Amino acid sequence: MTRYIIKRLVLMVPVLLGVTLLVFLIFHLTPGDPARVLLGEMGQGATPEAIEALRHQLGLDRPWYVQYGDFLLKAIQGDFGRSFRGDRPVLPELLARFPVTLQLTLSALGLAALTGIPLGIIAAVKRHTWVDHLVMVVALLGVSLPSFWFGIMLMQMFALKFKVLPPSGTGTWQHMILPAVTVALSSVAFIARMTRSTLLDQLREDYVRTARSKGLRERAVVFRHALKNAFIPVLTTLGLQFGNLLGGSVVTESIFSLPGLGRLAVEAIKGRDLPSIQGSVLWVALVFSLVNLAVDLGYAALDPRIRYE
Amino acid sequence: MRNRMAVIGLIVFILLILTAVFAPQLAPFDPDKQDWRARLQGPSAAHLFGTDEFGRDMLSRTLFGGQISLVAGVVPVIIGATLGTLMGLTAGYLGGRWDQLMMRFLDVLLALPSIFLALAIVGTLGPGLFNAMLAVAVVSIPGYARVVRGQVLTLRERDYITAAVAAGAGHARVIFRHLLRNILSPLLVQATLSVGFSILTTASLSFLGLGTQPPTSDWGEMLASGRQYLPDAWWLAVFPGLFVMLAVLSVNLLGDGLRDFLDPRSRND
Amino acid sequence: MRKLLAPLLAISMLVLTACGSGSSTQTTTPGTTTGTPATAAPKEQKAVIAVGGEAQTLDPHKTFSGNSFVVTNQIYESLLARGTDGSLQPRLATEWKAVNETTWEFKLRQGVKFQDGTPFNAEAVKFSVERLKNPDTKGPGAYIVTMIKEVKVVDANTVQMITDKPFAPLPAHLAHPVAAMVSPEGAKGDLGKNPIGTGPFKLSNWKAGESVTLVANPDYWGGKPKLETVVLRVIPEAGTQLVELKAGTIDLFSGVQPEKFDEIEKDPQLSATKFLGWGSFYLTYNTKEGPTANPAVRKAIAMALDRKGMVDILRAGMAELANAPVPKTVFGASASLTPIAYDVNAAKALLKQAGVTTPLKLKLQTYENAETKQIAGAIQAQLKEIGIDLEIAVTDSAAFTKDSLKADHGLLLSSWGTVTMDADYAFWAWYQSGQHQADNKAFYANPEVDKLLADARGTADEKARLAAYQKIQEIVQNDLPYLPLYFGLSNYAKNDRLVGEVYPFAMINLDLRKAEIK
Repeated sequence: MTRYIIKRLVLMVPVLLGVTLLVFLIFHLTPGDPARVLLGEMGQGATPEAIEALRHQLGLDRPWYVQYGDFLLKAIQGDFGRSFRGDRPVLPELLARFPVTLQLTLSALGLAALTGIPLGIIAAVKRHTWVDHLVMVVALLGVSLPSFWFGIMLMQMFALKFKVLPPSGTGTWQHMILPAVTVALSSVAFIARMTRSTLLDQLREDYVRTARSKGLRERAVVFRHALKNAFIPVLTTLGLQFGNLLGGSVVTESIFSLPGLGRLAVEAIKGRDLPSIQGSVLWVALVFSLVNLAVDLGYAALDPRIRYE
Repeated sequence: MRNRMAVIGLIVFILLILTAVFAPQLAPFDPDKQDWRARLQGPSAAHLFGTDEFGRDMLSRTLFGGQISLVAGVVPVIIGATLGTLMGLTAGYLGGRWDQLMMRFLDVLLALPSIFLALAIVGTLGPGLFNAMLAVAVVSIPGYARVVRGQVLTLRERDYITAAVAAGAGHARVIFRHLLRNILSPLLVQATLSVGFSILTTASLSFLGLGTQPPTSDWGEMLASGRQYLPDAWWLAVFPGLFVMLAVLSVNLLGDGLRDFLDPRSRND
Repeated sequence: MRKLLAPLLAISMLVLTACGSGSSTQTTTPGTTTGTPATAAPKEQKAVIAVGGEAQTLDPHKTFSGNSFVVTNQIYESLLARGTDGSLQPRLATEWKAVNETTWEFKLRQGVKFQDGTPFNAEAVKFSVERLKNPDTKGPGAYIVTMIKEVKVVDANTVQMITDKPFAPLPAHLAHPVAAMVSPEGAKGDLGKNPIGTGPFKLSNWKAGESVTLVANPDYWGGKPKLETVVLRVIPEAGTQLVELKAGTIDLFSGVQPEKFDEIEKDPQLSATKFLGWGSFYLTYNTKEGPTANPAVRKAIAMALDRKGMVDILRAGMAELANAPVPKTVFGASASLTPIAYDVNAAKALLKQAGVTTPLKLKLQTYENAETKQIAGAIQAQLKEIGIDLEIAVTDSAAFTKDSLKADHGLLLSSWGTVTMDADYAFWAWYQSGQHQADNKAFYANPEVDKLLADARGTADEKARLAAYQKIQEIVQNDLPYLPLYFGLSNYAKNDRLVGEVYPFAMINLDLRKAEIK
């Protein structure tokens, strides 16, 4: 097992290298000129010469592979460059944004798991009754309406009408409630449906029949045997959502004015700010690699038959 | 009971398709006809679903919107699920180097923000609805692959698989006869729930020049452009949202039915 | 079936009631939603201002974004500033005059110190302008001062700026927030993190992506501001900004959505103000290639658009019909031109007369933004009436800046801010034939206009400049490389407890020196 973990950690190096190269390639396929974007709406009126001069200052007049080599050389020494927008170091900005994203991810996913898994179990146990249908419809609502809609409605209700929660921003734990609920809404559907579906599969397996025929109580059957085996796809779903959320959820962060990574990445992409894009994508890749490693280890913990050589 | 639910799902889905196909006959107004003086009006006898920022009839736009949204909801799911399943199945079953290669490649893909990928697609393949669906499909591949692989990892060690392999069954036979059937549950859940996500995401890419362009409407685009008039003009979001929900609901019921149909164990349940 | 429908209906009812209550908050707003939480802390001299995006840096020379200038302009000052009437006001310079065609002289305010104690003097001016110009600074806004060849220190309180060519709008350029005076001592460190200017407020705390907190500068030359603290909070969503204002958690935001304006005004605790700013919203024709190279097509399109309807109905009065390329707040704007009249039949006749076969296919490019999308949709519907089949291509704004330079573009829809309030800034960029790879996206070239532009730039005689600009506007209304649609109004909304704020045209000029919380 330790060897496997070490191997996976070593394999992250080519993954991260691949990411940096891909970011460079994609960036050069992307329409738009960083210098012009930098001048933006306020910079209308700049002459062609001024725009060229700016491109030179940003080092954008060099071939992409020279730019890439330059980036790699510095990155190895821990220098992730300075942003095009504002000429500030990239790494501290990323680190400053991470705590908010982590808070949102943990609270939203915790909420989603704590509601989604029980809902899925209830739906499976009471399958094909009205309880099951109600759970399904509630869950589906979460994936059918865009999260901005929930966000706006929750804010109107709890910040303006009942005045029990602050509208947006950070500072207290109350600030995190509405965004966490908004993000959780779409995850609940996946978790609940996945739990229900795979649990039903397990309940049809031979070993469950055997356990039942031996007179084991239904609750024991579900919780002690079936649930554990049903949990692999649920764990996968949780891992995917966790990784996604750690990359930031742009819409929720915007609506609730949270200074998270998602907004940082999208603003960097919209601003064609290559060093910032590179930094944020690399960060997300690192997070995803670690989360996926944890998920794979989780598989082995849930099902001892799974072995990694 | 189970079949009845699947039948309901089928009926709803067919009804949605029919309303989209016969939108020109069903719609009370030209969906693109602007009447500025009647803008942002709530539901009334004349406009059952209200009017939008140009005074266009929301009912007509919702009916026509189905023509694009139903395609945008289903096509990326089919592409993404097919590719993702293939990758997940082979990675999980074959394991070793192949597994590492596939999964680490998907780690890279997962890390790229979807907007960034979509921009690269506009840059290379150009704008258009199909390219938008392609972008959404590509982004969804790792999700399917990981769900399928996770399931395959546990199945691989099961008795009936080892027995099949011992009996001399080829890889292809094992994968398609035995494994595929047993991963259907999580796969179908992932796929049917993604229909709503596909509709909303395909539309959300229209600002990059991907997806539908004005004056064509689809449900996701209607939801997105109604955003700035929330919460006052609630009808701009609720009616297209209701249709997205009906689509997702019917596809989910169908998915459940399909799973039951394909899984022999559930017959005598 | 019934089993399924019951929960479904229950849910949809829930959704509807949620919406209902959401909108009823809107209608019952007056007196109920605002004030209470905020007035609980009486007269704390703290103002919270919403900003749409994060400052990129607090070094004014290294950025050219409005969101950054909103912050830096509280900390730093330029030599001149804008008044609410559009005139140039003294700020760090008390007097200025043209010595000759290429030399401007500025008398500096005496006894001013930077926030780190460094004296503000002619050397500091020289340092600041040269720093902005220096390529090593990587300042995107360097072009604002590139025409300055030399900054000459005459004595401690007098500087001369010598330009390579005659450049009449120089004082207007020096009122720009990018031309801020920075402490030469402070610039040895990182001004981006530790800003040091002469302004009324200084940095207290910057929370990345969230807020910048400023405190009053006790040694400000104009007297210590009444506000102890100013918090500039990043709130990206306009809708959220409005909720925050109603909840009493912010005091001011700009860019009120047209549909929400009346609602805010009716609220006894809040007020909203709108006024003509520096913005133009316009259509660019490709005068070189495609159908719009034909002047008759350009004219017909102009006649087919109900611009008054766009202003009054679609923009809900948050705009003024454009008679000239730039609003009358801008120096040089024509007062005597009248807009081309809306006349669909005449437009059709003109197309027919010019031998244009309809339906005519045409493409309009614009960028992602609620307003551009709305107006593009309106233009598309209206051009259909005269047989023009308009395809709309919306891209993100970064791609637009590049796509719009392509030689084969059709129509472009975009907005413009004449931030120097001098027609030179807009006209040179739009009409000068050397700017085809920059902002002359109509690919317009007219030697007569080029000459007038150079003349107007080269003389400090205001009458001669006005005459030249009037002539240019008459020529371009006839040539029609661009069609001005309307001037979007500047606006802001505030909680009435904030008083004394001065808002010259745009948020970046927000002046809180005399503001206080009542």
